[in-house]
Amino acid sequence: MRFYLLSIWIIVAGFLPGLALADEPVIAVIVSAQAAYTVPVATNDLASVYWRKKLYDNHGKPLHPANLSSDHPLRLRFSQQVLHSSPRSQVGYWNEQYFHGIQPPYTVESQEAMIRYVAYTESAIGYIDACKVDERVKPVIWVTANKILGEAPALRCSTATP
Amino acid sequence: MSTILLRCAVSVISLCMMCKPLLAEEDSSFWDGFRIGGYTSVDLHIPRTETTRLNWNELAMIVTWDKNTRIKFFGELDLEDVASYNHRQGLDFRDAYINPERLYFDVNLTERANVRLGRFLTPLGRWNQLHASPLVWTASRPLATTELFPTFTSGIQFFGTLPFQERSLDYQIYSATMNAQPESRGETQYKDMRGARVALNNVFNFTDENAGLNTIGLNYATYREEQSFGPKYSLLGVDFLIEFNRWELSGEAYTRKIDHGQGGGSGFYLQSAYLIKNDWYWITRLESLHQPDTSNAERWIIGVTKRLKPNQLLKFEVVGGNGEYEDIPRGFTTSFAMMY
Repeated sequence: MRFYLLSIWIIVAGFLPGLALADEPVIAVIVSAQAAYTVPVATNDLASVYWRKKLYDNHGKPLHPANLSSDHPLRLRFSQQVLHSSPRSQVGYWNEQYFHGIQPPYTVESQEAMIRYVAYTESAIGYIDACKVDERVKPVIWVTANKILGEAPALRCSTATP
Repeated sequence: MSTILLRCAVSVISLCMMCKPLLAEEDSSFWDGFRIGGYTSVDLHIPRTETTRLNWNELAMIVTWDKNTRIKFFGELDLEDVASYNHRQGLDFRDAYINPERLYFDVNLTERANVRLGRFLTPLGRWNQLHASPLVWTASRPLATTELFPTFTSGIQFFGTLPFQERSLDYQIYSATMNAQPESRGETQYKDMRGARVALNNVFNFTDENAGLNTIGLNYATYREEQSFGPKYSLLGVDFLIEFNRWELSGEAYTRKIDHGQGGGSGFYLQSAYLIKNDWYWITRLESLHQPDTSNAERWIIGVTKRLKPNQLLKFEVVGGNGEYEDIPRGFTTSFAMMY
């Protein structure tokens, strides 16, 4: 009986949240598919790019990261997993950067707007639901429920985010 | 003073014009790269022993120039101590002066290295580099960040960020090349400033949904007092910032030695900001300053600060302890600060 209760507790406490996380869409970090506009992004550099600490690529081209709006579910997850903080807690940081003349990443309202911005802006970087990637953009990094990967994971594209 | 300003203005315009040929192929105008902003703050002081007074502290203008090239310009020109009022002397503009706080060019060298040339905030600790009123929780500034080292340096700085796994390391290495500093009132003048700062970001790798920034910095600098045969100092410092759930904890500590190992003073502050509700924060700070030739100061500050908008702070604080310094006398202070 004790073993039975322990098993249920393990399932409830550990396994069910895992299932819930498994339903989180994989986020794809995207760059333009056009050779003239694309830019290489290393997994290690992703946070520095979005904190605007790394401003240039290795050819001296200025990087143009873009964010979804601060209440978008993908923005919240991206911020949590890549920047280890919520958009709300970053207000002070961006005020500080403004004081040093640095602007926060450009903000777009939807994933389609993100695709268009990234596809047609030189050295732009963005992120969308990995299931929404199309031929206009190229995914380079994938953010799963608990990892940041340089190679594409297996995708289940039955559910879609707004 | 006017000569310095004129030289600064001519230098900036000349250097910006030198950048222009690099942009010849760009469609948009050279002037499109400019942005203008700034900040301002007003304090009401009700000291324990002196007269109540209202101060308009500064009117700062920030100008940046960025045309997506490897070169950027940054300038901050402040009108300091704009006006003050008390019931004995009335409205007074006599203390106002213009201070070219920062004027520099940033040049990108590689993806991990940049160079800064000009007059910049000395990269020692956090507060000195982020001292603008709308960026700090209190109207008063910790004494350890004003009394122990030069707050500005005119020279060269190499800086960048080195990422590794979930963390990153910011570095700043700098040296003064010009010792003639524009007038900054009430501060000891120093020269031959050299130093370095490294800061490790995301130290604790928090993953909680309420996690925030967390960073630890190490600082080292050497410099001399500007007067003839002035002592040479070497300073060692540490600073940190931790944000988690509703808390923000920060602090800095410095110790300074004179030429032959004699103690040259020390100081620290520890500050907490706790989010109460609706963008109201409960602020506490303890600070200490010890210098060989002046009286020691031990201060405490408690207060509340409201973030009215992302760019506006309204502060109320009580300053106590011993050691009377000019910036914020002991007593009650309220302040409004905004960026624009």
